[in-house]
Amino acid sequence: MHTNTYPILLVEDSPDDALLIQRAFRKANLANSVQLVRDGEEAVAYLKGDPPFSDRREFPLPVLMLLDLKLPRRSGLEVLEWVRQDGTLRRLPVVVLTSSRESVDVNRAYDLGVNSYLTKPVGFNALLEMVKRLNLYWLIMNEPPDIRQG
Amino acid sequence: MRTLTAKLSLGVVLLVLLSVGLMAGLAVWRSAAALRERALASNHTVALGVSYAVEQYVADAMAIMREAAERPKLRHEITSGNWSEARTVLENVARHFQQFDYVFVQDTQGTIRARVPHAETVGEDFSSRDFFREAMQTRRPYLSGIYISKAARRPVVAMAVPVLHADGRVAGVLVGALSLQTMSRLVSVAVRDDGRAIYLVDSQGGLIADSRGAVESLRDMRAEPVVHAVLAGRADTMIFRGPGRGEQMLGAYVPIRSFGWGVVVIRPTSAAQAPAARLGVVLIWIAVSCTVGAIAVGVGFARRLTRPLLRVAEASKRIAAGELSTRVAVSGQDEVATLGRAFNQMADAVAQSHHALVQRAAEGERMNRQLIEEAAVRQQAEAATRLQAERLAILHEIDRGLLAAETPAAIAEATLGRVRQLLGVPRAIVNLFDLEAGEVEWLAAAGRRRLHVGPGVRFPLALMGDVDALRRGEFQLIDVDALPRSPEAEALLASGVHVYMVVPMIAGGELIGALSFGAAAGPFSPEQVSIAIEVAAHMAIAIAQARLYERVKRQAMELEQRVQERTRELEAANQELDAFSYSISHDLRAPLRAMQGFTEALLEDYGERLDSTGQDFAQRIVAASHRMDALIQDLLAYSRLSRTEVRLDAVNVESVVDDACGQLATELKERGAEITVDRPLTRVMAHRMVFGQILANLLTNAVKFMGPTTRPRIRIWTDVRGDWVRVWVEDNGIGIEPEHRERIFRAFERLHGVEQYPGTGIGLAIVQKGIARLGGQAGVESAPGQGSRFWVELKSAEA
Repeated sequence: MHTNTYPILLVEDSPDDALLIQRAFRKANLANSVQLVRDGEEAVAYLKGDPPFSDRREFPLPVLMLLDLKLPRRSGLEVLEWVRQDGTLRRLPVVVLTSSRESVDVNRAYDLGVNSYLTKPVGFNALLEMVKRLNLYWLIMNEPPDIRQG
Repeated sequence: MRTLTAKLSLGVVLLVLLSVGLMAGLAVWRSAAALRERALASNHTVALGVSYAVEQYVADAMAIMREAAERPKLRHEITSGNWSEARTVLENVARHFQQFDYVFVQDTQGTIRARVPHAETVGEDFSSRDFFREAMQTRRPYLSGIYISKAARRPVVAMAVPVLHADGRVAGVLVGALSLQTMSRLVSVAVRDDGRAIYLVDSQGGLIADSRGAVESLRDMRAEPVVHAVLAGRADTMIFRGPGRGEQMLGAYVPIRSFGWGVVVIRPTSAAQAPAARLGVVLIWIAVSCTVGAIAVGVGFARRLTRPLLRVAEASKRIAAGELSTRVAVSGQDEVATLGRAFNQMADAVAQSHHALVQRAAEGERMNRQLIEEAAVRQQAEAATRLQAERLAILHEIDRGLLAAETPAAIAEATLGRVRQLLGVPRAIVNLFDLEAGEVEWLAAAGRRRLHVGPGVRFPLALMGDVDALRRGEFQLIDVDALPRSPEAEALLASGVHVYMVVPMIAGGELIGALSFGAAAGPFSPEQVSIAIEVAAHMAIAIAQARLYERVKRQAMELEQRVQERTRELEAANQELDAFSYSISHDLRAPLRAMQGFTEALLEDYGERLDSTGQDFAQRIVAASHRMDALIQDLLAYSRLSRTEVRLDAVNVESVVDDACGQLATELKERGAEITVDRPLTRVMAHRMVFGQILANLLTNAVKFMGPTTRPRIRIWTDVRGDWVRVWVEDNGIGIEPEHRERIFRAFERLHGVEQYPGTGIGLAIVQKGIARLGGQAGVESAPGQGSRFWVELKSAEA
């Protein structure tokens, strides 16, 4: 399985942050495409392949999910909990990318089985640096698990 | 002078001297012997009386201690180690029974756990004391000899009673120190100003009480022969010589066999025989005057020769035989006549002295009668004491009931039956007054057959008589037949009560109720009245105490409830604060990131199209948003410090310093800082996270405030100050003016412009807050241009 053929699923409700993160991905010359969803329910729908994401050729399962915590409709932690209980998706690498540094959130995320927890840096250069490292670690160095196709 | 006259004169003088001297000697000797015997007998009676009183007193005190030790409440508090409650019980005992100077409780290890008064010896080990060992081993009450109390620093006698579990194991030991003052009073009661001294010794001969003065130190009396004899268990009298001046003493001694003590009564023989000595002096004077008369007779006799002489001799014989009225006939003025007259004078003198002796004897008789009367009075007093003791025993029982009960109703229930019995009346009632409502409420009523306990009937206050008089402590005697007709009066008459007495119960100056008792007919005896007054006084105190106790309990519960409410409110407020800082960290920072990100994107993607002013503006936006982010981060750190739960552990300062240096590595490298750590550093008690934040802020602060060309040199070391450890961070920076040293630890205080030294102004406030949470202190020593030495002080972990 070639990881670069699968997308990164970015769950982010702030259009500003989404734009900046996408720009950082672009500047970092990532091989993987980025799929953006705007809230927790959309994220679950995407992962389950519910409409409008039922076409797996257009919306393939991601190799990594970048998850914001404070989301409308269904919070990031709820999405994470759902993923970890799903028979198919439970091994999906999930990295929280949020602005909260509160230890309640951090600990809760790890309790629910998150793979990594990052806070959004202030300043574009810092963000670019983070995205480059994210790419290096999770998409190039890391050995991904098998995720059975549903 | 070898004349017959001289010889005869001498002969007559010698004869008279001899007869008068013999008579005087005999009288003095017999009177002295009688006085001695009487003194010994009276000493013995007094010793018996005192021994009886001391024995009663000690037995009463022992009964009180035993009763206290058997109380389930005390046993429960001791078994469950509830010493403050045990102390409350002791306080009750100490307050109600003046027989004890102090009381305390020891656990089975001998450690004093509660003590009233002199609580300072609580926690001390008294296991080596004889009373503790004896009470533990024999599991029976034990009365110690006299010894010096450690806390009170004066001689005491301890009474130790084991507190036993139901299965007979010892739970602890209750000890009371008997009041020696009362003992002193008991031995001093029978002292008159006739030189008599009375003292009391313990089974080892140690002096417990002495009528001659208070016992201030330990004194071994075994050298006294009387003490030696009384300790052998004998009761007798003895004439002996005192050890000091060797004065002869008349002693009597009686042992108190039930606990091996002894009572000794002594009186110097000289004091007892003083009347005899006075008599001797009178007789010597008489002898001297007789001699003078005899010389005159002798001279006359020598001149008139034998016949008249024989007459005189005959007369003197008759006088010597007791016919004191015998006189010789005198005629003429010659020597013989002179002798006759002289003889008659002598006879008069002898008759006179005889008369004086008879008077003395009568006086002695009178004294004897007086002593017998005294003995009768004493017997009466003893009988009264016995009655008093019986009454005391019942009163003790009542007191025990008072002590054990916790509510006013329980107090009345526990005691009223016995009070009625003691008064010997058909009906006794405890009433509580509701003065505002003008009503009285039955707390309990005791009749011949049953005891009724409230909440009882309420009836008008008027039935209690003159309330103002009651308030003054005067009792009221009420004639039911004279009362206006009312259901209450009818009920009283129906139960056979025609007259009743109302005795006020006053506690703390306030009239709280009354003890009343009634009978078919009055009057009530002074005995009944005095008993009722005494019982009412005790009950009033107990009821007031019980009410106080109930109020304290209720207040404690209310307080507890209020604390819980407050805690809930505080928890809610804390949660709200948490939610607030969460939104700050998330929501405030999001737009900041956007501002910064897009401005940087603008500079990067469209930088060429902006002129230098436009680029400067964009840079300023970036810088401002950086500052705001730092400010939010610092504020969050500051508020997190107040909310973090702090637990103090031993923390290795070296590793915290290393962590902080690692965290700040980029910044330190950028500024070319040189950090020296004087290892080893002493370990402190701290919360690792909070302490790390404090050190990081101190380091940031140290490298920041530098002269423009100075290379930062930071030195870190610890020094130990007693229990505390001071962690120092020294820099070679610009230093601080003395007047600013307090200010810099406050939030948002800045000494310099942002342009010169950028920062949020919260760094040192975080240090101050953090060190306060760790229970330590922070400070600075500095002079402008000389660098600063910041320090934080924490408890040492190397105890």
